[in-house]
Order: sequence, then C-alpha cells, then structure tokens
Amino acid sequence: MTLDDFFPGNMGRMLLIRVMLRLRRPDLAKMNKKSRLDDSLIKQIKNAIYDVNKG
Amino acid sequence: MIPNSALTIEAKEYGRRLMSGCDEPMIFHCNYYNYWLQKNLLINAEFGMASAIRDAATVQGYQTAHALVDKAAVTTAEAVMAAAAVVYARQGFGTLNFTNTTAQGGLVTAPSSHYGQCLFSSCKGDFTQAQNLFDRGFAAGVAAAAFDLPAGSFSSELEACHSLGNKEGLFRLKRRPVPQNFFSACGPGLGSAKRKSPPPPWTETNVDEAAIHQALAGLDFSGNEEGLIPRFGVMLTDHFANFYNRISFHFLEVLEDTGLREVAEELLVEAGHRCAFNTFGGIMISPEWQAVVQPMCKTPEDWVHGIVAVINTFGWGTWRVHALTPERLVVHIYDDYESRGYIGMYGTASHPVNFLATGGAAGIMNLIYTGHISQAPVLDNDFYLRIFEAKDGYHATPTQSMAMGAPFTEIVVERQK
Repeated sequence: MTLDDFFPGNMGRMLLIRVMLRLRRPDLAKMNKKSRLDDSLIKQIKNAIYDVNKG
Repeated sequence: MIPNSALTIEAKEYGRRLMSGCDEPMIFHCNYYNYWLQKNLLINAEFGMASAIRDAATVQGYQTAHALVDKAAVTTAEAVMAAAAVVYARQGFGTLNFTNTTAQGGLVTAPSSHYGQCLFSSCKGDFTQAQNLFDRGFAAGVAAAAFDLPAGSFSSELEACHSLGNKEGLFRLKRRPVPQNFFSACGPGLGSAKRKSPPPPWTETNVDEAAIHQALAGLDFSGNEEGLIPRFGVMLTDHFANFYNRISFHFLEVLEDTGLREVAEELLVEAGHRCAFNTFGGIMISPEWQAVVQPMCKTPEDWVHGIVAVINTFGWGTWRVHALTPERLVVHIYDDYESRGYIGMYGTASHPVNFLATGGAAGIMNLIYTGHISQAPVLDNDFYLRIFEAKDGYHATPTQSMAMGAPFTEIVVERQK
C-alpha cells in the first residue's frame, strides 16, 4: 500500500490531512506518495482513517 | 418576555449585520458548515478544541445576556435567562430551559438543538462525542451574566445530547470555586486602516441585486417553534461571527509549532467549500431562487451575480465581482467577517485568514460551471464528489487579505488545467 492508494484525488487529500492531524504526523505530507508503506504505518493509517471517518 | 426591539439584528455598512445592544456581528451559516468545521476542530482531543469551542460560546452567551440586562432592562436572573433563551431560539440554535438554574448552577435542558440534532445530515455514522458544545458554553455564559457573575463562573457538564441518541440535551451547570479567566469579545471587530467603501454591483448583468435584497427582506429567517431555521434545504443558524473566528483562529494557533498549521488551513477552506455546496447550492435550487433570481438569469455569469447578491445578505461583508469569465472569477470582499474578527482579536495578520471566503468562492464556480446547478441536480455526496474531484474544477487563492492591511480581500478562482 502507498499513500496514493489510501488517499486518492482531492477528497483523498482532505482525508490525508485529517489523518495527519489525528496522528500528529506532519511528515506524512513529505513522504513519497508512491512508495510502499511499512506494515506498522499502514496499520496506524487504517486506524486513523476509521477514527476520522466516524462522526 | 423581551421587548421586540431588544437585540434585533440590524443591517450595517459594508453588508455587515450587528446584534443591537452588544454590537456582535451576526452571520448566516448552515448545519453542513457547522458540522465540517466542528469535525475538523475535534479531530484530535490533544488539541483541546472541545473546551475552546465551549469557551467561545460562553463569551457569546455572556455578551447576549449582559446586553439584555444593560440595554433591554431585563432585571431578574430568571427573566434574563428566559429572555436569552428567546434570543437563542430566534437565532436558530434550538431551545434552552433554565428553570432549574440558580446562582449555584443546575440542570439545563435543551429540548431541541441545532448542534445536537442538525449535524446528523452530514455525518456518515453515529457520533462518538457530543456535538452540543456551543449549547453548553452559551448556557454557562448566560447564567453567569444573569447572576451578575464573571463569565467563567460556571462549568457545564454533559449529561445527554441528541447527537448521542438522547431525546434531549441535558447539561449541568456547576459553580466554579474560582471563575475561569476568559478572553473578552472583540465586538464588531476592525477593518484595516486602508479599508475602502465597496463600489456598486457589477452592471453588465441582468441581475438586479437591490431587487433581490428587497425580496429576501420579506422572508422570515428567525427560528421556528423548535428554535431552528429550516431554509433552502439546510438548517441555518444566524450565528456569532466572533464564535467562528475565535475557534478557527485558535485552532490554527494551537497547531502553530506542530508543522500542521498550513495543512489544517486547507480543511478550513474545504469547510467553506462544503458550505457553498450545500447552502449556495440549496439556495440555487430553491423555490425562492426560482421565483426571484432565476428569472433574471440569462447566462451562467448571471447565476454568479445572483448568488453573490444573495451572499451579500448573509452578514459576510460586501462581495463584489471584479472579473468573471467561465475560466476565472475575481471577487473583492469588503469588510469580510474573518478579516474583521482577526484584526479585532489579534491585530494585522501575517497571512490571509479568509478560509471561508476562499472555499465559498471556489464553490460558486464549481456549482455553476462544473456542476451545472442550473439543471437542479440532487445535492448529495455523489454530486459533491463529482465536482470536488473534477479535473477541470476550480481552485481559489486569496491574493490579498484585509486582515493583512489591504483595503479589501481578493479571492481569485481559476479553472484547473
């Protein structure tokens, strides 16, 4: 999985920002969006997406 | 209860609207904007924004109740709280019952609530936290003023909220041993030193802005028996500009040294885009629009002028179309509420602070040229995705901001290549 896979398009960009805020991870904005993510980060991102998509 | 003339909303220069008695700038915003703004601010509990939202609301409740005492000659604490509840309902926030509130606190009930009930329409699932932060803060401020106490005299502890599945909102006001220190409200805010009067509306259009304003003046935008304002397919609030400014700018302050501030600004702009999509979109497919504005609209450009004319009744300042083609919109905003609030609270800004205006301006072009709102599409999530993801959609940039000392704010909206 890459950041592009998780966060496609303009809506993906908004979701990425919410995940960055949720995780306090400004570095995500600077990562290569096409690079493979390690398993630990994939898990963190999945959990954060679940959290930020809730009401 | 309260004299009819008490705390009425009065039209002021440059498209502003002030609540008489306390000079609080008032602006219309919908449940979608309120949802997305609050969702963004509450995204991480570590930022402490829940208490910041409550505190900002407390200041507004305190100001409102104080104005009732000072300017409307409401005297007893019970009468002040009841009158404040009338104002609260009129502005579209819902209903509050202070019957059990004393100088030591008590249980406040909210049988209906904009924040408790009306944010569901934007929410994908159940809420994980109570949304009635504004209600709780406002009530605490009202009680403090009613009993002639400092603004931060009461805490408000949540007992129930519609957003969590409860039938009504319940929160317990508790007297603090030592009042919490509070910032003071900035009132009507400030314009820049170079502030200029707006020019007349664009004349090369079939749209008659004055006629639109006259027609809208005949509509009732006050809360119904539930204290809610269902209009144009959304739930409106006639809200405190200083509340929005306080919580938005504080959010960015909190993020200042985290490396997240700039990206968070994008979320504030997107909340403005959501606002445009739902409120402007709702207006442009409404019977009122079809009756009043649409007959004037012969071209897509007329639709832009028509919605700008309507926006100029929201209290957001005076918007003027400066240049317009299907590829590009340049809008000048005189006395936009974000700039006035920023200067009033912090002084001159080092960067543009016109997040709502930026998202709103992009939303106008996306609705009219990308989304073809003239064909009355259904304003659902699929439609939002279609226009937000469109390769040839529009992107807006604030090119100057009154908050930075400019005479007016300028937003340039351009079609993406």
